[in-house]
Amino acid sequence: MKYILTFTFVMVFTLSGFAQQIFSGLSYNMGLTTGDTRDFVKDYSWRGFGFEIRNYKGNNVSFGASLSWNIFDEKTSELIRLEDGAISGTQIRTFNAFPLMLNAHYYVGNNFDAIRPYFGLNVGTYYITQRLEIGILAFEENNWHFGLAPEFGIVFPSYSGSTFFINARYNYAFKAGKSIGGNEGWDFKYWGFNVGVAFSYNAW
Amino acid sequence: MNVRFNFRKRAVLVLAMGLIMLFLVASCYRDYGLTVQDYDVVFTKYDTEADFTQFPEYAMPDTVLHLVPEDEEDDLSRAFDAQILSEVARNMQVYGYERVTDTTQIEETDIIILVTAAKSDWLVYNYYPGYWWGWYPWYPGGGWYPYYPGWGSVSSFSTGSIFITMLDRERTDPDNQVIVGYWGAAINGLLGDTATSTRGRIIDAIKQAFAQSEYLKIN
Repeated sequence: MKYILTFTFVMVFTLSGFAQQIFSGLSYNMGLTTGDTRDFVKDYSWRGFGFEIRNYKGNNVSFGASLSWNIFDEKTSELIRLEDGAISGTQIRTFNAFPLMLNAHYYVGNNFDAIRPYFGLNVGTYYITQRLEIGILAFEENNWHFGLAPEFGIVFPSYSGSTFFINARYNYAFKAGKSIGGNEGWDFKYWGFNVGVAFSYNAW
Repeated sequence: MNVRFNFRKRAVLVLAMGLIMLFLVASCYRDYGLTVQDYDVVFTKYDTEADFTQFPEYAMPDTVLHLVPEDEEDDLSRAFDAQILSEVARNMQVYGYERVTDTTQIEETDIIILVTAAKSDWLVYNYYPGYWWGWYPWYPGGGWYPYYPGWGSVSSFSTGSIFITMLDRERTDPDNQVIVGYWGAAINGLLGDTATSTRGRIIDAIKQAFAQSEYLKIN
């Protein structure tokens, strides 16, 4: 993962522009499951990345889109309780979340060259795969979910025109499909913590 | 015009970086370094209506039955049979059951513990599909990279299973294929480990089968 980080920062920094109307960048994404989702995978996710593009409308508002990938996985020997029995054994539990979102952001302050906090909302779909490996068997369920992700963050413009950003998103993929356990309509919730770099330009 | 060109160039490069990152993330799934023991699984199931306090005595054949098709033999070792039966009996005793060994009294017991074993051979074919490297516009002279053909590998492994079944002696009628069970445990693991390790894994798995079935306890 450190190679990905290094690669991302070096490459995006190199590509940075000098104007400030379109904002596009890559981020290193981490995550932490919450609620019922945490019953399946508890480990903090250190694997993920995202791509996003934002189009500024004036000084304070941007509209854009983002595509991300978060991997949540853990090895556990937790006993699986069933209604009439139980299963024990080493398990590899995995979630892959692919949010594909449209978003709007509001930036506090008018100066593009200043550090500015911002908040926003992402709306779109999540493609989520849930996988359980136990013994020599593997079970998998894949579902599309509609979802929302409120977000807050900070942008840090640099002298070169690059913009560094950090943000936190609460991803809430609404109920859809079914889980490996057979539960109909399961939802998926996690905090996403993202660190990235973008370049901004006024290409059109 | 120049700005637009730069934007397109950068956009293409960012997309390419994104794809490379996608590849890198895909290749950095955690390696858990699983050992043979990590593939052992214990599954238990019971009749939720059963009142186990009604069955304080049980009988158990002094052999592990191997499940093989008629007129066939398996190569599953019998080296662990005695310990398997002994460990099952020990755990039953811990939970308050008394084993009836007098064959003249077996007809008076309510339940029979039957221990069976089976081996399964698995053949796995892994196929890695071919890949078109595609068009690289920035590659000097351009051109198509050749198609990289797919390739595969074949691997095989064997698993062993032990089944411990608690049967209702009176209502079970093998001749008519009527089986009434109150509790069952299925233990599955990879074969091919050392004898010492296999013995330990089997004992641990039997203990686990009882440990995750607290409802069996009648004392």
